[in-house]
Amino acid sequence: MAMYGADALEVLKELSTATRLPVYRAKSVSKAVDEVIHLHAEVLAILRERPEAARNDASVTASVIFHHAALLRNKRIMLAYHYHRMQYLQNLRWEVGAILPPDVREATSALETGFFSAYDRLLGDYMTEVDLNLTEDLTPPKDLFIEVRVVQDAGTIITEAGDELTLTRNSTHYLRRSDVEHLIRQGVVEHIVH
Amino acid sequence: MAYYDIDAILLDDQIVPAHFNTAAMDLGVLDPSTPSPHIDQGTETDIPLWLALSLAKRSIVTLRSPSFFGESFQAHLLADAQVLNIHDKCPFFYELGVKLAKLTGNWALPAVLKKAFHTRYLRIVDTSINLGAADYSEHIRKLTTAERNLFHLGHAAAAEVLRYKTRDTDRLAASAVVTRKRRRAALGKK
Repeated sequence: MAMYGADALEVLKELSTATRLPVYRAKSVSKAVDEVIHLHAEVLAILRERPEAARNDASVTASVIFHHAALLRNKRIMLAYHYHRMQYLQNLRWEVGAILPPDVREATSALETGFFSAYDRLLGDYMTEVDLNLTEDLTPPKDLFIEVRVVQDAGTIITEAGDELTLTRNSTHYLRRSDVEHLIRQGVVEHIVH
Repeated sequence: MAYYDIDAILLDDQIVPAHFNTAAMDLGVLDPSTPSPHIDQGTETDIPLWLALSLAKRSIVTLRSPSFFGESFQAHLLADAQVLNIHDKCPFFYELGVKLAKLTGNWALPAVLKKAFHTRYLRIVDTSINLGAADYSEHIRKLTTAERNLFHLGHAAAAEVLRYKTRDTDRLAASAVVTRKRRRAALGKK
């Protein structure tokens, strides 16, 4: 029999070595939850049936400790797994904005997608309230205007000044940094430095 | 936060040899040499650290040191720590050593580990910041997880300094999530 928590640890390892968000392992997660329920039942059964032995007979105490420690370990691995994935999604909101890139969307569970939109709403509400776009100028700006080249056709945008601007591939523009910063981070246009 | 730290979780999964002072019900799964579901008194078997800690607290098991904390490997460490492949022995060598020293009361061990780390530290920091863009896989092969993290920090810091010197920091870049995707798409086309 495989050791308790082995499966859970596998998905955590996969997450820690991956360079992009791996697919959510729903099967391993539900297996870990089943294990926890089973381990919990074992502990309760021993305590109910042999309360005296659990305290005085070291061999029975060992069994209680074993099941309890395995339960806690499973819980810790699962919490860490979800915690790190949530951190990744939070960062993404700051990096690329309110829309999840398609490959990330495929890798997330329904709950995680829900978390992302809830986080997006929370951040959005806060930024409306303080009337400031916090995701702008993640690095302190040096120039108000920057030159950019369009990498992929991106339709028409409206600048802060209210002008319409069509972004066609390979055209270059001299624009207010705040107008294009999010487009640079999304990789639609690239910043040209001379 | 240590509770969610993946390295801390992996450290707790390291195997330590243990001696069972009492019999233990239901723990037979830990000992592959016995078909019985229980463990007999006096059994010697390897158990994961997360279990070892709670069992040792109640004196159900006595923990032994793994062979790589033995006298002979300690002598090697003191002779020349730099050439040894510690990662092969245990990816969390130092951390495990310190934890076990506390449990087994082996106070000489942390001093040896500290000396070994000190010897290796200088080389790690030196290579990490001077290697530049050269391939580093050979350099980190022998390093433990903590040493590798140290190496990567130094390596990243050196790259940042270079970016600063070439004034590349002024340039806004696309997010790493996006650039990776594009690279994959380009590979797919070919």
